[in-house]
Amino acid sequence: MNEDVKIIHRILRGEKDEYAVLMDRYHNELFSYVYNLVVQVETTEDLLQDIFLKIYKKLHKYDAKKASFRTWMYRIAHNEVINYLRSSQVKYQTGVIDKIEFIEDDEDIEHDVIKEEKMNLILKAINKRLKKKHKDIMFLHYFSGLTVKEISEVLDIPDKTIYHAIDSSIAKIKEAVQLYEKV
Amino acid sequence: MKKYNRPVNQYYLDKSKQKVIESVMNEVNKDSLFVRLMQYKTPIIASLMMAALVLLALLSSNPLTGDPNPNSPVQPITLSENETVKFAEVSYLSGTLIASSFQVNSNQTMFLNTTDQTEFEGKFDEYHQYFNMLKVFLEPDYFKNKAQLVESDKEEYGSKLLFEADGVNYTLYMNVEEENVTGLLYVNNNVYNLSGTFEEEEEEFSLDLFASSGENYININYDSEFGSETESTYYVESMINGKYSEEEIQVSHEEDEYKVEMENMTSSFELTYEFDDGQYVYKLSYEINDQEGEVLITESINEFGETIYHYHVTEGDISRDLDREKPSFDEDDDEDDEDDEDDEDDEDDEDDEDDEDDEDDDEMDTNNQPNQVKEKLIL
Repeated sequence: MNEDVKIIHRILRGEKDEYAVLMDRYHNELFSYVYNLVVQVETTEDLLQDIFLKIYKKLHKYDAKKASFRTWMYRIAHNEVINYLRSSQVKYQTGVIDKIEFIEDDEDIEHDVIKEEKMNLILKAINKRLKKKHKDIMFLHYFSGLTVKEISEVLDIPDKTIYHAIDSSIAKIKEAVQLYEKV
Repeated sequence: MKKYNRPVNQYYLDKSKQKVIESVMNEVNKDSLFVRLMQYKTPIIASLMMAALVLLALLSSNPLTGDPNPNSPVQPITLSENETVKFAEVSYLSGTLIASSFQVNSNQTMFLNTTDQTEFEGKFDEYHQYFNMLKVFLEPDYFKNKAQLVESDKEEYGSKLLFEADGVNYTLYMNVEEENVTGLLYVNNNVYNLSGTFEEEEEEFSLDLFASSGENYININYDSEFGSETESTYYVESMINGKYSEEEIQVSHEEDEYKVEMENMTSSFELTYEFDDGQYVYKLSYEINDQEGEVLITESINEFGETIYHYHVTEGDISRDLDREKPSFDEDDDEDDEDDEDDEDDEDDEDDEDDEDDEDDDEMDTNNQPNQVKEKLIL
């Protein structure tokens, strides 16, 4: 039995404080994923609170035989972020980072700025050029730490389809980014 | 695999972690009675629930459907009106696409290779099939009054969904066990295996159907979570004769105006039904290989009683008038066989390699063979 499952069993037996251990294990990874999509620190924190609370409330439904806790958790997190982006009409933020100091200090500021611009163009291309299912795949592919197999588990889509989608989406994104860069 | 994560400053990350964990733990500690019971009393509650379920199962033949036959291996399912309509729509799209895709791939119409050929002509077969399949979505509540969910007359299936669409009969025999759907889809006399998932949660549901015939398949996904009352989106993935394709089909309506949009890897279009120049016409605005154009489509009946569609294509400075019969999925009758003989000879020269594959297609209608396609090119 892996460590996550042991912790979950302890929580379900009543050791609620153990949930803090579970959050501690995954906070940074989920923070990074959510932050890359919403690009606002406060919103990311609010969403993370909602996500962790939702996970806690659904914990008794988690089935270790069906999926790893990590991919099950990403499924909840991904749906929560997508719902937020859709309902708030903020769409996918481009070009706006509300607290630049939040980004890791690096001596090569120019490199960071270029990378930031590139990421914004990629987000814009994903948002403008891809269909919903492919957006989901590419958000997870680019901005989460998940492998294709794990993305397949999160979205419940076969690996093969994910590979096809990534291939065709990358071509579309590249084309769109080149176009945006020319403008 | 390239990742694009922004590196977040560790100091702020730790601060945020502390804040989030504290906030969540506060909520956890004042959580509802239900959650506390679920946590502290899980074994007791689970036992009680199990006992209740066993009792329910013993006392009731079928609490959902009231099925009088508890020994029946498969049980009818219950669906809401909206779910029934979505099952019908997704089955319709699956069946029509898999049936018509064979025709599109095997019967590409040849046009004169002139320098001013429109992009539309290169896609005419495909677009004609799309048009015929999607025009029914321009009628308000088309499937609402047509789809009937009844008990199956095949003992291996619990339910049967029946509907007629655009002169074609669709019958879906199905079982739904937990979230899995299995079934047989009849499109007139053609049969396709069908499988998929059907998930319901509160007000939302999703339907994912996979229809196959040999190595060809169509996978259609509908998710009510991603739509709204005025908008339905279907994600279609298919592999037909070795060709992979993806489409997104969106049906929307605003007040009395209905619109269907389709986008695939190479083109997109928008289809509406409008009053234009004294008559109702279908208007198809398209973009193929970055070339935009518009087609006005009208319908008429010829002297043989067949429905003919007239396409008036305008692409840049070029305009074309094309006619095409309505496709059909009926099996061939004798007359058609006679008509098709010459064609088969012609095709043999070109398609010797595909002969084996074509055997699978024999069950499909050949009414839409090229020799029967009536086209006129007007410059």
